[in-house]
Amino acid sequence: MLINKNIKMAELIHQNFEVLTVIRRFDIELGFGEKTIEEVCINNKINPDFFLEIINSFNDEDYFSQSNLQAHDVEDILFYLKNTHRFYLTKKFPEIEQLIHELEFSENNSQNKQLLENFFNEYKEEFINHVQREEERIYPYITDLDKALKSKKACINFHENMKKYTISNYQQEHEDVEEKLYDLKNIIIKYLPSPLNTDGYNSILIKLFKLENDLNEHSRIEEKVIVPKVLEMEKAYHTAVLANQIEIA
Amino acid sequence: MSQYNCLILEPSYLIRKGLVSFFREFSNLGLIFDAENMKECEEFRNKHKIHILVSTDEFIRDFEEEDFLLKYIIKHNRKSKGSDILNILHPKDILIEQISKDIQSLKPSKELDEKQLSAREVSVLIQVAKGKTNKEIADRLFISVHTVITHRKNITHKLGIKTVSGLTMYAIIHNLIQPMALK
Repeated sequence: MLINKNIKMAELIHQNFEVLTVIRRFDIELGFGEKTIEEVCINNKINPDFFLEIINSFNDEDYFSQSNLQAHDVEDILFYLKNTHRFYLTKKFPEIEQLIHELEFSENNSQNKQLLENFFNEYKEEFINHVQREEERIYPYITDLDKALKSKKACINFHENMKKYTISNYQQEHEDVEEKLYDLKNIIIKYLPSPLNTDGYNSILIKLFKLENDLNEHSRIEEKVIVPKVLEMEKAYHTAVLANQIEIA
Repeated sequence: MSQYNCLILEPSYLIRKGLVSFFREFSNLGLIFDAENMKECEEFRNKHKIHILVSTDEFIRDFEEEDFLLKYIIKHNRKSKGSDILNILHPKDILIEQISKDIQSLKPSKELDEKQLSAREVSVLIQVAKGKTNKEIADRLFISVHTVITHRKNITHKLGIKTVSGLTMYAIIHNLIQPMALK
């Protein structure tokens, strides 16, 4: 169902409780009373249209409307993506680590817990590297590009660096950190002997599947919104430079 | 079990989604994609092999030359009948019977079904798990690098594990290597 800004925030959560995690990423607290989505967004200084785009694309895969999302400010999108990273690192990963930690194995299977812990740690490190590269290199580049276009001024360093690094480089190096997650699920489902507390595996798997869905949604925004938007911005930048509309100092 | 990917190309949103949920009922189908137009259809075909195509008259002509295991034309005329026709006015049991028969008649491809690792694959797996490079494995087992790569592809396919760390973990669980041998 399509969500609009006059729907009550409480109603939205009854419709699909999975949006709770998204709401957290916008730093919105519960206790909405009868407030509509628009009112809650305004109280929290969030652009309601942007919030709706994210919620609708999260709710319904088919909704995903690039044109709408691309119309939003890059800073809004980057803010959301960064908060999502934070959510994985400070919430999701520790939860899964705790569940692995709580597993109990019989004596002859006792190495399995260590194996799972090592494997998850490797995955986490790879993920952190990926996030760091985005936040330290790619997002600042996008912010600078946005500023240059808006202020019609660019610093010479930025202009020179653009010859070496553009969003197309990012597209190429945007590798799949999700392969490890896929392996982890399969190893638990197909190959690992059960722990003494069998429910432990179920809880871990459910978390892993949810994390995977969430990551897919996240990369959909990166690939279908950020990349095309920045490609357009780069084009606009080069056109403006050629027409001497941007001052390079 | 064989896994065939299915693509539904149909402009009407409601019919398309209805067909998707219908085709999801077949457990031996793999991925099910739906496309509104040719552009979306091509996007899927660039990424995945499509075995079964379901489409309308207007689109199916564009695929005349192409090789699908099964092709269905969507019809909504009570009288339309035929082995390649999917009449959406037919009752569910008739449709299920028609499609199940067609799918069963497809030759199951061997590589998809075989899940057991061969002795050779096990020895390659052990070397991969120990962190050896393709070149090192080739030298050790007296085979070409190209053969090592083929073995690795088959191992990944059979086990459903893609990364080296995943394969290492598999090898330890199955006592193919000792955790000590890791570093």
